[in-house]
Amino acid sequence: MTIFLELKEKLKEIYAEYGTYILPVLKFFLALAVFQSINHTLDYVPALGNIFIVLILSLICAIIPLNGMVFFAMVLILLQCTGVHILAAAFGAVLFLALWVLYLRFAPGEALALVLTPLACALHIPAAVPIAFGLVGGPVSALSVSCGLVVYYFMRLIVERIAVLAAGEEIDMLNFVRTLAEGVFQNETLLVALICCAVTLLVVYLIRTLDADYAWQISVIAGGIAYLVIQLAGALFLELDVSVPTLLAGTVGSCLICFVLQLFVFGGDYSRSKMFRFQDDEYYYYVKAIPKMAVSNPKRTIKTISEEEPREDGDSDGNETADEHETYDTEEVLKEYTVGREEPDVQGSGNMDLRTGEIPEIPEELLARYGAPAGSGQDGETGNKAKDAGEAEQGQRPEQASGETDPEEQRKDEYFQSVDFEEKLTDTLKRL
Amino acid sequence: MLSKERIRQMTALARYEQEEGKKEMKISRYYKNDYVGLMLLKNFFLTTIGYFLVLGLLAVWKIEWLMEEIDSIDLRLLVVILVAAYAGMLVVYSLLTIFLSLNKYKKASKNVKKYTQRLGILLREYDREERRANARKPARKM
Repeated sequence: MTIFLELKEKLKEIYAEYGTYILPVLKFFLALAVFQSINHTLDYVPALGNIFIVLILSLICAIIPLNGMVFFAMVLILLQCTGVHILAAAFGAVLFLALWVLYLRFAPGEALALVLTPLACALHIPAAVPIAFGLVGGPVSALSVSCGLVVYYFMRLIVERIAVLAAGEEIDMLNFVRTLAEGVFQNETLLVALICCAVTLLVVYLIRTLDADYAWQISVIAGGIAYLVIQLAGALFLELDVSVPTLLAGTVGSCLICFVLQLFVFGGDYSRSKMFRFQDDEYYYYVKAIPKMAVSNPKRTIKTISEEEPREDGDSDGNETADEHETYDTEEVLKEYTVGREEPDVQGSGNMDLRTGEIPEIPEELLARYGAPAGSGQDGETGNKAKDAGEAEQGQRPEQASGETDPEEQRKDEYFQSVDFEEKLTDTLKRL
Repeated sequence: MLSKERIRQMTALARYEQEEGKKEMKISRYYKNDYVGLMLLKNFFLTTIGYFLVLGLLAVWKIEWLMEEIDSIDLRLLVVILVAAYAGMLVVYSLLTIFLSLNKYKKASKNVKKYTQRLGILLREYDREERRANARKPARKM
């Protein structure tokens, strides 16, 4: 999961920086896939299947809006239909025009769903599109998905029935036209697919918009189940020819694709950088607007507070052994404690600096435990001095004795919790 | 002289002009009723075309039945049904168009208002800068 999140952050960064170039490239590949899929399904005019024509069309589609890709795809389908029969192309033209006039004009920004639906059907993952557009779009996407399904089933109709009829020596025109219309209006498979996709999309959309934990993940699974159940019910009650293993594999594959998609889409703002040009009386302005990005995961630096740290530059000759170094340090610490009591750390930074002598106070508990009871020698002296200084400070700052917690005091406490003074003092006492 | 605040405002204005502003500024030029009326007129023509296209496709589907039953069909009833279907379709699509165009107009007006406010801020920035420039100029001695 973390890998996906990191990858998402990287993708957002890349898209924000190079979105201007990435988008046309993606559109080019999408157009190439769509046109190749159409030519693969309807291969009746060999000239249109020429790779150079497909590449040129894809290049054009890369720089025009997605609606242009839809237009070119429709034209390609109709031109391929002319290879079967001119009536098939005419029927297709009327059908596409009716779809645009009655449905697509209400969903002008949903061209992607229309383009992707036939592609997903050809790849046997038809559930991927309604689930994906339930996640990223809204209920209006159902119109585009439905239109995409009609286009796909029209292509299948041409391949499976019309091409066979047209291949005959004598064509019964009446039967030919009736078969075309029947293939659209009396196609139970298409009807089930339409209901299935619309319901799946709405289920995913409704669950995704719920204020619940894991709503996005649940919506993907629920969408997959809804698609599967409706398809199986359709196959059972309308006696449709459905390959259950293909349906299962396709739905599971669609769910997996959409699951990965929701990881990238959820909470992702793929705003891209844009170029603007404007002018006033004095200047021409060429502005590149780059979206602000949140810093992903700042690297954590663990700062180890120890007495060796400040002495790095002081011992540059490196003649001292590790043992000597440690002895010196611990003694220095004890001395500094004494000094520290007399000159308490005003800044309260929490970091001990041996060179500047900014040492925080020693807690009384520690002194009482190790230094204070001793009556003779250096140890006792140190302990007494510290205790005296502690009493003096108590006198100076009565508000601390009354139990009020000062932020400075809190920081000092935190510092003492982080350094193991007990061990250091025990070692020093043993050596002495 | 270049001003950071002024460039920020101008960039925001240019962004709106190049994106949503293209359509929304055209919409906001109309009065609300005029815009909705225009959309309804457009809808009337498109729905009529769509209706006849669908009717044609349905006629093709039932062409055999039509040819067989053409003599026995009650033409008056058929015409009434077709007109009723057309009227129903027109009403549904008109209501949908009114709802969508009102929403669109509301959104466009709101965004254009913001755009105009920003334009005002930009003009004030220019005025302020001009006043500053005038103040810097040494007064002419009479």
